Amino acid sequence: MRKLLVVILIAITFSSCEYFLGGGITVEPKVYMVAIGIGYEHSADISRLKYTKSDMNALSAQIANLLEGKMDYEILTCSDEEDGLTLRRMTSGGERETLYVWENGIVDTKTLSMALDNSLSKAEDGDVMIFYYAGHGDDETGCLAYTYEYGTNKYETISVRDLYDDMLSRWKGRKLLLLDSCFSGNFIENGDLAPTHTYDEKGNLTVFNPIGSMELSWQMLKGKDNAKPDVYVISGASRDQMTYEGVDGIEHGLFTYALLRYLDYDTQMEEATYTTKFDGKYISVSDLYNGIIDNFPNQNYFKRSTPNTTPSRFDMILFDFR
Amino acid sequence: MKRVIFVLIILLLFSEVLFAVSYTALFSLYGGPGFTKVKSDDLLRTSYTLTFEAEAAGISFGRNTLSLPLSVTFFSDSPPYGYYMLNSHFDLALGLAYRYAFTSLFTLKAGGGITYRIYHDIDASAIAFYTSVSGEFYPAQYTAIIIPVNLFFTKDEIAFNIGIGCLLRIGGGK
Repeated sequence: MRKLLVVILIAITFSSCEYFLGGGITVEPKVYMVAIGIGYEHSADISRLKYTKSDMNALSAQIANLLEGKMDYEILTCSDEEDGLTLRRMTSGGERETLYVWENGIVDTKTLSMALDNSLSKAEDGDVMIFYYAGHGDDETGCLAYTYEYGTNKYETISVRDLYDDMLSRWKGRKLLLLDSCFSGNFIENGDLAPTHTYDEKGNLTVFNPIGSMELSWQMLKGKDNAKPDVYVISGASRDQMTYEGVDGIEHGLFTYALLRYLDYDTQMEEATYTTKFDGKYISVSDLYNGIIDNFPNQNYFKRSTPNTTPSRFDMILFDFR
Repeated sequence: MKRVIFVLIILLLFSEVLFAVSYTALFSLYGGPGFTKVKSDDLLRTSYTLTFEAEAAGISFGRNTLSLPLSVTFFSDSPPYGYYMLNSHFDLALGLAYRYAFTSLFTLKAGGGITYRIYHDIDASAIAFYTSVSGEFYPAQYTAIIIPVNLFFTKDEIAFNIGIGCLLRIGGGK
């Protein structure tokens, strides 16, 4: 009996060290970010979005400040400016440049991918790639209406498969999509885990439903493998919900507002800050998701526009400040 | 189905008279390290696991005890493994357990069942199955030091935890 106890004690002792853990991080990762904000004010009749471009700029600036001196970054912003759809680039080395201006406002996904390639093709496996979109999600499929012809109602979209298969698969890195657009839950790929929350027929979040969740979990035993997904997503809404901006005098999309608040952007002064909140810590996907939920400004809108994330057994570290 | 459940309830209620059994309730609390292997990934260690188990509907006959354990196990998130780490989760388990008392000091328990797992940080859930073995050492008549090993398995994943803790037994023989 003593021998048995000794063996168990040795096993417990070994388990408390890093003996069972594999290799660590050897190369400092770089952060690549593509931020798209479309306001549609140059279209003939597509409904305008007032705060998408300022959201894009605020998030880009806050992430740049967050990473300054800690991690190298390269941020590409794409928005519908006066002269056309404009792609800009800024880096941690202080470079600021306009890469492309597509004058009529229309650019197909292939051309956009080629334009992004110059920066994103440099990404390595350990690098972080964040794709942020603030704009319209189309027609209940959630397709991202990222480009439109100025003066008309003609627009083009990126579908889920376009984004995953034709764009994101071109580049290496640990990828996260942050989508502040209607029906953006469609971009979350189903895995073998089921959601715990459910929605009523109007798409509103209902209270935790354990029986419904257990049934879904049982069905998911036959689901496709999603143990460690290639792309993590945090969406501003579920598959059937819309996202909102300008609610309660908040001059942001509600999802982006919550995200900015979590990242310590000063929403009173509307300026990016150099925060010490994350010093000595890391920010993972689930930290970001829970930060958005904790900072969501309006609980009634939360039920109508509920942030969702990729269900996975693994959490992924985005920024490591330890 | 309803008829079967009805018969089982009646048997349970009158088993003390019919089969000379005694009722027992067992409550245990234990903690220890946990390990998880997801698909082809390496074996990962969670920081710790903590389990509370209640076996209110137990029946004892001679050296044997049958019970329906209801337990909650918390698996903390793992330390970072490269750029990834395991999400923490709660496992709510319902099962069937059998105990055999080899001596007045030592009892061995074996059991298994189904668990409903909740990943509370990301609002996700899964169904898993478990099997467990536990050694129980009785320094006093109604309390024991326990060393359980639980094995959880579900699609793409196997996990186990080793614990040490205590057990309180109310009623029944050993």
